[in-house]
Amino acid sequence: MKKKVWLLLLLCIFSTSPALAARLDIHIQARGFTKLKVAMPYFTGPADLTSGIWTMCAKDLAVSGVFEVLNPQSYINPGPVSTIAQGTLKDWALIGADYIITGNVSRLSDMVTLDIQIIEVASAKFIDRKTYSTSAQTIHTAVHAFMDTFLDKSLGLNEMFSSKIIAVRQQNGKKQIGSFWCDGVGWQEVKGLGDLVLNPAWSKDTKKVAFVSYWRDNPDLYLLDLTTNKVELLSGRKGINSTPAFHPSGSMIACTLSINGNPEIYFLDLKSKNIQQITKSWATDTSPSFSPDGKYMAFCSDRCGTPQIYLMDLKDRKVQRLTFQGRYNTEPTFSPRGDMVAFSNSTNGIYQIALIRTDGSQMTVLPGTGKGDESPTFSPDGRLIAFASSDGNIYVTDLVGSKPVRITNGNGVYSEPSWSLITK
Amino acid sequence: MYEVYEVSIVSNVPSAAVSAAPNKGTGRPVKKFVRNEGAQYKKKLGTVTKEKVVKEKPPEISSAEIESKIEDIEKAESTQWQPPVAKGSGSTPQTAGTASQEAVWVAHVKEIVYDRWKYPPGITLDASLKVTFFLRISRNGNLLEKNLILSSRNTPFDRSVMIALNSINKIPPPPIGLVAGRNELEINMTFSPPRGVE
Repeated sequence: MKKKVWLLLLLCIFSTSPALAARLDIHIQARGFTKLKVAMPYFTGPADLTSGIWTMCAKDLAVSGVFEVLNPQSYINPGPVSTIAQGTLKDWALIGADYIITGNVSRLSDMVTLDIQIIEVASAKFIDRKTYSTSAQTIHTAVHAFMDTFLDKSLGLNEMFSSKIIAVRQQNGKKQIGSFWCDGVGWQEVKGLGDLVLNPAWSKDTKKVAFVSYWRDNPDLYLLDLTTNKVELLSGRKGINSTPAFHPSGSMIACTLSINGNPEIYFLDLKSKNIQQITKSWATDTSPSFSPDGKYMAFCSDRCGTPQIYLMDLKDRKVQRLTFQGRYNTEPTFSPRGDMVAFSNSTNGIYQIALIRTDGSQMTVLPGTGKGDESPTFSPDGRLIAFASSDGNIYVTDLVGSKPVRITNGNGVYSEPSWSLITK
Repeated sequence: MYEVYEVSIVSNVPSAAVSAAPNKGTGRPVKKFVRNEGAQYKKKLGTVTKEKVVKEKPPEISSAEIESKIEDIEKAESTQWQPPVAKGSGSTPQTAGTASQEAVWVAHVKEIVYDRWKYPPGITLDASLKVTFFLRISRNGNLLEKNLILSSRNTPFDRSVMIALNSINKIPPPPIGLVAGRNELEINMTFSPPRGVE
């Protein structure tokens, strides 16, 4: 007994020894969301180049969903700055900057060079110093490269500015498809597909696009091979041939066909062109979207009276209704992370983008533009959503509903965006 | 059986100066480039002809600069903070006073970290994330060491916390109850996303 008491005493003495430190546990739960603040003085160099490049950088920082550019007018020196001068870092810290980006643009013939420096204020270190050279017509590629580097070096985020969005653009009475980079730069229209082209969908490898065209006065399904520019008719069956969605394997697409009069979802093998009926109900089943592992398919059906989102387990074809809120839920799209589905929701007559977990829980409606938002599509890493607004533009927002960033310039009416994976 | 058509892709790649300049009116592109090769679509960052990596030089600004600024703020913060005096008469148990001091100090430290930690909305909606950092604090409140000991496995989340901790060099001296007889205080600080993140 005495021995035990001594041992206990010794233990007490050692545990309170001055050489040892006390250990405390503190739990910090973030109080809300705050974007990281970037001070980006206007770039130095030829005025005809710098303002455009600076604006492009500022727009891309906003599109990223994690950065906010501090207004240059609030800087102590609001003029152009190419490097941070000795002894001025305090000034930037005082205005709340987490990062400082400085740039110098120079031009030699058709080549433009962009020298960029990024400083992390907290550690007072350069996290990147690079020179990007490209032709004046492709300067956006240099900006995208710089932005992807910044995303990586600051927060360790995956690259996103090498991804593209394909969309429908209505102009001069025609609806045609084309693509641009995810910040809206570099629109490339696909000509010769007819005057009414709809429902573009990327393949996972970003080499093919499936779409619907009224080329032959019927909504038919086509496949555009972007490596050869060849267009192939996938399904020209009587009735509707629409809403294609690539299976992650790339070997088949899901689509809506109304062979027997009622729109149902079918799988269409891209090699043999054979079809297989997947849904069978009296109602309209449409807008399929595969989970990233290809094991589930979200789709829209009005089998309960109003259009709602359903999830099918492709192993046993069991269907589970996901949405119960709202009278009109359409255009489901699976998150690349596979944990949620985004869709268009209408409760009071105005369309908004909504999110729901794949177990049917936690439905969230994003405030969006308030003008009517439709056709959501996830960014490659699933952090952001692009959508079409009824004002005719494409916007990008995050999953908590921050103010959307407009990426198109109003040059035409854009709809049905589809965000690609990273183009390699 | 199926027809094969050929199409052309017309690209409007705007010159940077025109498309993005805010003061150039509509921002509509003035040049059109006809590209009828699908390879254009494959074009990516490779179009940047050369990307020279400038050899890392020592920063032109000294870290002492920013540290001195942060120290100024922290000095102000630490001088503003006063250990609470136990309320009531001298009959209040000392332990209650010490516990209260510790709680107030922890709350103050939390406030400093809340103030510095920015959790951007575009990171993740995963509410289950947790990252733990080990902090070593001297008796006078200097942050001697900070190490990531348990990652959330979400790099952006961990980095957002690291950025916040990098901006803190000093906190108010821990109350005597926490460092009595010891040279320093060790803290396991765990961070999680905001309440309501689904």
